[in-house]
Amino acid sequence: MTALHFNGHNVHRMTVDGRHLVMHVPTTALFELDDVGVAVLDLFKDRPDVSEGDIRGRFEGRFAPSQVVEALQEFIDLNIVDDGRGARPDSPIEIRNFPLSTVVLNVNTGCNLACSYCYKEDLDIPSKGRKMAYETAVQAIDQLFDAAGARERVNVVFFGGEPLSNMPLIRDATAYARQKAEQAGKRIDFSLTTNATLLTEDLVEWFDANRFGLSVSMDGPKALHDRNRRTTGGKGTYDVVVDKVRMLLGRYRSRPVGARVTLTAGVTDVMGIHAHLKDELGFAEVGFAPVTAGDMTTFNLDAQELSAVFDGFMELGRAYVAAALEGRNTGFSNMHQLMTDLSEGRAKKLPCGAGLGMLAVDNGGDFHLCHRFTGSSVPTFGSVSEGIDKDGLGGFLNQALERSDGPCGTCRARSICAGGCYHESYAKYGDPLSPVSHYCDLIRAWVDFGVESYARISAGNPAFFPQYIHPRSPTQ
Amino acid sequence: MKHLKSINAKAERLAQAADGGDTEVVMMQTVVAGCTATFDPGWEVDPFGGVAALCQPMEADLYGCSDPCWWPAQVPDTINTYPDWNADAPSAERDWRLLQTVFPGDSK
Repeated sequence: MTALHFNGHNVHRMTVDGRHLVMHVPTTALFELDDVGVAVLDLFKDRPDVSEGDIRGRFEGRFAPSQVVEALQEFIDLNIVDDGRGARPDSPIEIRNFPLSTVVLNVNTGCNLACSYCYKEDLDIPSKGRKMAYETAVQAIDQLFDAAGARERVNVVFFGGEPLSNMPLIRDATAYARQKAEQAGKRIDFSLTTNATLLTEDLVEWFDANRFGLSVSMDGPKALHDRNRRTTGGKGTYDVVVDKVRMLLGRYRSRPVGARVTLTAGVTDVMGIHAHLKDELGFAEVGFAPVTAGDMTTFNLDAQELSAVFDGFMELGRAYVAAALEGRNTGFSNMHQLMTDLSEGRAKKLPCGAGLGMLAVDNGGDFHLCHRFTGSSVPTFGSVSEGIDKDGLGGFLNQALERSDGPCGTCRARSICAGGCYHESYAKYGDPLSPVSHYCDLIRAWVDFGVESYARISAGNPAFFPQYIHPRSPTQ
Repeated sequence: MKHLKSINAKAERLAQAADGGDTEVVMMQTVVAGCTATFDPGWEVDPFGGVAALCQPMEADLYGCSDPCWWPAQVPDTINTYPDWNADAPSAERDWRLLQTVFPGDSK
């Protein structure tokens, strides 16, 4: 007699405010179960296989057989329960095309700051900065348009070092890319992350006119910011940065401006940092990047600090939920991204777009997975003059895809995390393809927190999603 | 989907696909509904390896075959001549012992 087998790795159960929820792990679809659904899944609680006799024994006189069969069929359709015909493997994916949407140009390896935790392996002091030549930028933009295929929108991102230290290139490359976009009939967006120290009113005006998406690297109140974000001479930069930020936020109209915070040893006060940057300075949103795997272990958050950061994320997340229920967005980027992923039900086989839709170009014109890898010893993937090394890139990405069936194959967060940041893995384990196992538990807890929060917001104020989430979708 | 209510966009699409039969053709082989076409291999066993919901024993889908007249099952004519033949047996599977043979004199 055939038994029904439970594919536990395809479903994650949660109870939120008395509601029984399941996440269908392969697709990130979220469902609420009725009593029959709950009872049927409960059947598998203490055993992976159930027989007809088990089902009869459990449900006789409790639910109509037709209801039980119906619910079982729904679980079978989702491959949560396997009716003996063998697990259906997810259809294999092989990557052959690389329709680029984004190039990141490393316009200068030089930076006027010397933040103690900086991960950039190609970072130079200002006088030794290697600047990207205009020809290199032009070739990179040509490669972007050649590879973009049918994409309607493309992005050029300027990165460094400190990108504002090579403004002549940024202005020229922007003009060239605009002209190219017009010829190709595509929309183009520009963005840039800066330490803000070199901003002037004229520059802000120019960025505003070109609708640049701007992010400012800033770590919070003075005491925390000055801990790591210092000049090459070792002086804290908070005072100059805060003046520039006030000037920027007071004048910038074309897009919301975000702050990017790096959380390192001793910098874990997520709530305080957010309150300062969002409420006191007026950034539209604040995103946090916890450093767990830097070169210099003194800056890495240790397990205890990482858990303090995580507690801070949850506290800030709960404030996000409370505000969302009142129809407001607190601008907590990490949480907002999670809510976007969960409301759409995004499922990923690769952790990010690096190498797939996005490539970074170093000052010499070589392609890297992303801006974090420029200057590293990880092999490059072609160059702007020779084109993208499709075989090499395809090989790398196919290896990354295999992770999702291997070490990550039974993880409930696999469709949201997909193995984690290549660069964190590279920094921690020397291998971009090693899963970031040092924070798997936190990722899973964060996803659970996300599902719980999503369920509360969607039940209490469903209008929040069309108002704040959908306008962010890339199709808009 | 009746027992799983969609609460995000992806779930909505999955449910539509499942309800619309967009998933996979094989799923029809496990849905206990309707009849097999003559060229189908049929349902030798149900999902549990049992036969109770299948074409055999005959009482399992007796009414499915006779009432809608998809297949000419060997039952009395309940429309005209023996309308009450199965009145005491709402479930053929459970009550089949109450289904009796009929004779011309039994008709009303």
